[in-house]
Amino acid sequence: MSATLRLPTADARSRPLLTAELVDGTEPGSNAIVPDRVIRVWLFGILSRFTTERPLILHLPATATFGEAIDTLAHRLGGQFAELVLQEPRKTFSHCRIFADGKHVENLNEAFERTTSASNIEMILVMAAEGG
Amino acid sequence: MNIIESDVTRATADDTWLKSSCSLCYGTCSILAHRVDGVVIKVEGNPDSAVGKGRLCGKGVGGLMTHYDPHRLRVPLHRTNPRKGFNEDPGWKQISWDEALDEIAAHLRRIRAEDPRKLVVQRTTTVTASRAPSQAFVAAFGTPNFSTAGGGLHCGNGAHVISGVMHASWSVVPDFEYCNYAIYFGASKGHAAGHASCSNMGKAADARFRGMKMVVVDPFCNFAAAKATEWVPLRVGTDAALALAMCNVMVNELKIYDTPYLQAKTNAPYLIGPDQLYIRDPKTQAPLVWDQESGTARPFTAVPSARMALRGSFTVNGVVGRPAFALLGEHLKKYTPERTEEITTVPAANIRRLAGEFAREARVGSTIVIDGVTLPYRPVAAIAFRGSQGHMNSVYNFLAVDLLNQLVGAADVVGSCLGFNPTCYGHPDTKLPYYVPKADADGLMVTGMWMGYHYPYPTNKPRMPSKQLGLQDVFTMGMTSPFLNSTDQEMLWEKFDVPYRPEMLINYGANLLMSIGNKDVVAESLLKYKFIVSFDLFLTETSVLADIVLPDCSYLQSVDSRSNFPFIFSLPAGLGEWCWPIRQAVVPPDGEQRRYADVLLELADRAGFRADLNAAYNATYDLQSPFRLEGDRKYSFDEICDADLRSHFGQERGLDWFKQHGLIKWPKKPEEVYWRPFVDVRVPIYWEFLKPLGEQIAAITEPRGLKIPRHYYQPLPDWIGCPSHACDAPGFDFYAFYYRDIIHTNSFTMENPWLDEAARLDPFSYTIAMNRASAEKRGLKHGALVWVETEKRRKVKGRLAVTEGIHPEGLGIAALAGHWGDGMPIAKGKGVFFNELLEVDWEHSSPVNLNLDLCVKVRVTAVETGQ
Ligand code: SF4
Repeated sequence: MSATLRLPTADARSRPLLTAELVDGTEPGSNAIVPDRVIRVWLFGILSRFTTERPLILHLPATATFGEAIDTLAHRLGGQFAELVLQEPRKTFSHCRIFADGKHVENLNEAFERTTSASNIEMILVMAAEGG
Repeated sequence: MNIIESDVTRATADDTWLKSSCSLCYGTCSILAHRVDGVVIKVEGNPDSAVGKGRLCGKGVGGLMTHYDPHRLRVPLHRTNPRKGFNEDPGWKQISWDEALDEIAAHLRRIRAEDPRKLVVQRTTTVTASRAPSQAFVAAFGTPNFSTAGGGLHCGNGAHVISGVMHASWSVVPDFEYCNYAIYFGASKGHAAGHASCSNMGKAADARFRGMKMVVVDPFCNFAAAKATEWVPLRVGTDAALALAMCNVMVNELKIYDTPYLQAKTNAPYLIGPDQLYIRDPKTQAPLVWDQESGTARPFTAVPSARMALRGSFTVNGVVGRPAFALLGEHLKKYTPERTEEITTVPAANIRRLAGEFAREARVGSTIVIDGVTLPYRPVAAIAFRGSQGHMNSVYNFLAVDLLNQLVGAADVVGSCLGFNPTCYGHPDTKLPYYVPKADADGLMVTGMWMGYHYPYPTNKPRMPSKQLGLQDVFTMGMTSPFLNSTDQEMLWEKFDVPYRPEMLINYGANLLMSIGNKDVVAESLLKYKFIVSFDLFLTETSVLADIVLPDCSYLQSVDSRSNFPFIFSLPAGLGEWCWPIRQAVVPPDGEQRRYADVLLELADRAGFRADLNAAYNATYDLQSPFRLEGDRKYSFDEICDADLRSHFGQERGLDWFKQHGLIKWPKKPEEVYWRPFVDVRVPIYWEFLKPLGEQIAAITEPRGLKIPRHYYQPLPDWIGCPSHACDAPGFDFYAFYYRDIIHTNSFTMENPWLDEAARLDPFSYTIAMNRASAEKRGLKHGALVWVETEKRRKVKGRLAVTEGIHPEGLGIAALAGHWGDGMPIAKGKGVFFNELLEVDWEHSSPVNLNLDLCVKVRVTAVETGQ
């Protein structure tokens, strides 16, 4: 399994956490590009075994896409995590349900809301194959 | 409903009709339950609901007898005898819920810490309400090992996958309002059990009254065939051959097919190279078609469909390509009616006639106006279900039958073969639920809604090591797997490097020992578990092997916010209403009975994964903000149901609103019901993806000594015989099969005294049906006690019922009877346990979709005195 990984810059990783308050300071609808983005990742079910942190914090460029967030996560958590989540680079399994700020993520190429600087991602595998 | 004055005014403290849902089968019809002084005295159909339309079947009417059965479990039980087996008394001891939950939670905590995949959850398909809570629980716990017992294994691996790929739905049905000619292959939709059962019964009856011709292809002339215009008996398991021969007649003899439909809505024009794969545009990778106007090959997206060639042979980038349709036409030629007669026993002249009737009745090219919308009109439908599903070749059986529809454009348009509600634009107030099929990069349809997230198309790439005990990581078209209980499971797990072994089983209501296959085989697999907990209404044959048995609530004591959702499962197809009913508790639990969904929540709390379960419910129910469950807050299942309902239908329509109203409904739009012309998707008449999938699977399995027969992975369907078709041992001259009895649901309803009485009055429910002439030839008489024996020496005993209404080589056994346990005394000793004859192993499983072979060649002999 090989995934194309785009890592956050070392600079971004070393920065202190941006807080949710920054979000409030952003004018709704404004096109202002926020300089950095904090992603709180909540892994559930079998994915929670890959980290003791919940949420796990990622720093990404402000223009990051969901796919980049997943790639970063896969890089951070290792090949077994990537194998469970990605069927190929930039393509998650249909049973891997990803929600960004409560909304189901359908397209990994989409960027996070440009008007906010912090987001929550929830991920869970709903693998059960139904029959009958 | 018939509320007479005296009912209402009688001086009782409690005299109420409550709106709820049946659960005697997965049809989940809407009911009205009449409760007087805390006792349910009657159940009727809810005429306000589209689900059942006020009708109930015999099982639904008899549901009270199941609910009030004195043999219902009322307290948690713990075994005291550590030895397990058919002849071991478990030594049940009553324990408290606290003790039971503590012990189960301790096992869950240990396993979750070690490897959550060691937990297996099985559920019965009978109780649809167990689906979402089970799915959420396994997702939260972190195990992929979830299965739907025999109900799933025997029924669905072919039917649902093909219905999903071709109709974006769980199943298919004729458009009863407009269909003029329906041909059923081993299906009984509208005449017995199944999805939207009671609604379909009314619709089918109206359609027959209106003059719809119904042809039933089936070895047995029972529920559907008995009401049909014509019964076509065929050799068991040869449906694909008959359907392909009909397609051959239509394409190559009559030349009747729907060219514009095939050009625009299927991959018929895609150019296929000598390697059997699409010829693709080097730049975009899009499949190419031949543009008849420009005389060039171009991506399918760049050519108006009317200009796409369906015939011919073209050189493209140095290779010769032919449209998929041309290859199909060639392929079909081997299914001449004459050769097919030898396979199926259906006379060649009949095959030609049936094909001609179907093709001409399709009225290719016609349109109709409904509610001001002009729509294609194709009043024919070919459907298949459990009969043709029960074979190793179920993928091709289904695909071949559906090709009949695809050839004439009779797919999800007026009068045609309809998927169950694949397109929904949502309630007018909230636009939810909203789902529409969409196209993948090859233009092929991806279903907009499914019963889980294991979509039928596109298929996942096979992978090693397998993470699932059912090996669905490797056999990615498989749904329910036989390998959770097969004789060769250990060998297979070793081959595929499964890095763990199952240790704990949570069973919800399934009687695995009876529903999967031979009981010794299944028992051996169950005895490997270190710990089994079973939620049951009764002590079944399977719960006797459990360590803890928990007393479940019946449907009259339970809550479910989505009795008939997803709509692709059991909401009637066709015009009418969208209808979302709920189930509510009509009476409280008796004794210490508890509801399954509540117990799962409690277990998650005790085992420390409530936050995961809340997240899993958010995902499973697709809860929208602000109704998403938060953190590890301890919601009750009622609160989760409330969130589900408000999330879909608005703040003011929570569980209390639904308890009062029973359901919400709104009209379907013609463009939702007959969605095919409005949604830009194609379906594969040529399954190009199968061949590479087979190669990828073989690349994994063959170095490990498991040969993949490539003829299961060809892009065009063939008839492939089952092991029974290859059996020529002397004396083994009947194809035994079982069928779903109209008055029973799986093994469960055998305990119901009303249904048992009805079954005893029925000549076939508890007997073995044999053709009269075949019986006479062997000197066997009606009522004779006979042995039915397989080549592997599995055998069952039962009484013969001779009839002209069964194929001379067929041997029909009803439902899932033959209980032997003491926990269901009414069921005990009644009928014939067909599954005892079934092998459960790789050899009897489809190498493409893991379908278990359910037909078996048998010898029938009279029981000697004293045997
Ligand atoms: S079809 Fe099923 S759900 Fe409907 S009344 Fe009969 S048993 Fe109940």
